[in-house]
Amino acid sequence: MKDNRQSFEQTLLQGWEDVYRKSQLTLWLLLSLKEGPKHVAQIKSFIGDATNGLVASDEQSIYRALRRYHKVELVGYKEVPGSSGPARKEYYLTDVGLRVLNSFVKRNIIDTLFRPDIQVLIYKDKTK
Amino acid sequence: MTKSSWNVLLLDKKLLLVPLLAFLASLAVFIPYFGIIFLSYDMAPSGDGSHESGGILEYLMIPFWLSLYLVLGFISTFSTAVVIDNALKRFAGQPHSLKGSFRAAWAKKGSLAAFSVLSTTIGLVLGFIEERIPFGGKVVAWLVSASWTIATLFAIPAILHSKEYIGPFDATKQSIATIKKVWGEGVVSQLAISLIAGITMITLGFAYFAVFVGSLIALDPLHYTYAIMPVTTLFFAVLIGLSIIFNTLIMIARAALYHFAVTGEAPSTFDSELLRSTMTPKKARKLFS
Repeated sequence: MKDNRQSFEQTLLQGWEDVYRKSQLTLWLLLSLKEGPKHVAQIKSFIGDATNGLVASDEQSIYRALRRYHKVELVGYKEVPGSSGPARKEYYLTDVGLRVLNSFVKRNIIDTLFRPDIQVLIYKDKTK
Repeated sequence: MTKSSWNVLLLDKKLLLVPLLAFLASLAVFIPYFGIIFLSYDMAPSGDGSHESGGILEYLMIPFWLSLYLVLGFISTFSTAVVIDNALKRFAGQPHSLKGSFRAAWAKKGSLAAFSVLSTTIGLVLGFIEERIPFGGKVVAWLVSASWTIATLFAIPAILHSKEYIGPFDATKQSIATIKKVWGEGVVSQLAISLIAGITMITLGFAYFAVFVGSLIALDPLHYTYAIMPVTTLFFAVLIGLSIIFNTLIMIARAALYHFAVTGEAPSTFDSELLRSTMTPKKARKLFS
């Protein structure tokens, strides 16, 4: 019985996390570039590391996202000669991207999840 | 260059007003002229069925027709100058407005009028050669016309660019010097737009012809007349609209080439500006999904 309940809850959690993670790529990608300019492989590594492996993205998805964001000037890139091999694109956050990211984080994370009363709620492990 | 021109037109749709106003102004000038000429001719048929007209009157009409050509020529040159001025200022990152461009072109009315007189005169002479000299006349006229068109591609930008009065021959010399810098790019981009325009017009013509013939076959004479009139009106309205668009595009492309020749920098494609002005919430949502 207990196993069934756990399995059910895990399935619910998995489903919720799957949807949640799909929308997280933009945030983590831009945060990785806020830390500093990166190649795609470095972006992927940062995201995996920062999210404890929960937001796992293949390089193709990251490339596709970067192409879209480059079109709207959220990110830029420059060709950097490789130490061994052809030149690679190093992506960076533009001024526009930084302002949009900071506004998003403030409105959707800092002003909500970081609110003291919400923090208390998050850390509480029982209901009233 | 062509992409820049399209983006400029998308950002500044008001530029289309200029050739439209030029067309209306030309019509406003042409109609009274035509009315006067029509009334002055003796239209009574003679015994052999031909229409007689006063012999001396024909020669007196020459300066009359000439003045019409010159006025229409100036209207065309002036409207081209307005569009090119606006585009040049945009490419140079300067403030630009239609009113400002009208003023800038008006400030150069002397040079533009002189250039327009030269262009019109050459056009008339070529027309004369084509009609009067058999066989070779058409070839000569076509060759000279093509050469003149290319040689004067940047004459109007040169006039707008100069701080003082510049005569038509000097403007043409400056134009030729500029063409040498952008020869390949210049001809190709102008040809590309003209080709697209030509193909579009021909396709439209075929479509209209198909409707015309189809209606003739399918409908009785009365219904055919009622059907074909709005279609014909629509066809000519679309044709005029497309002419205005392509004409404006060619003028902007000419300004882009001149900017490149003079500054050595290709005008920015204005993708960024266009993107910002056309971003919608729906497009933004799609971006992040």
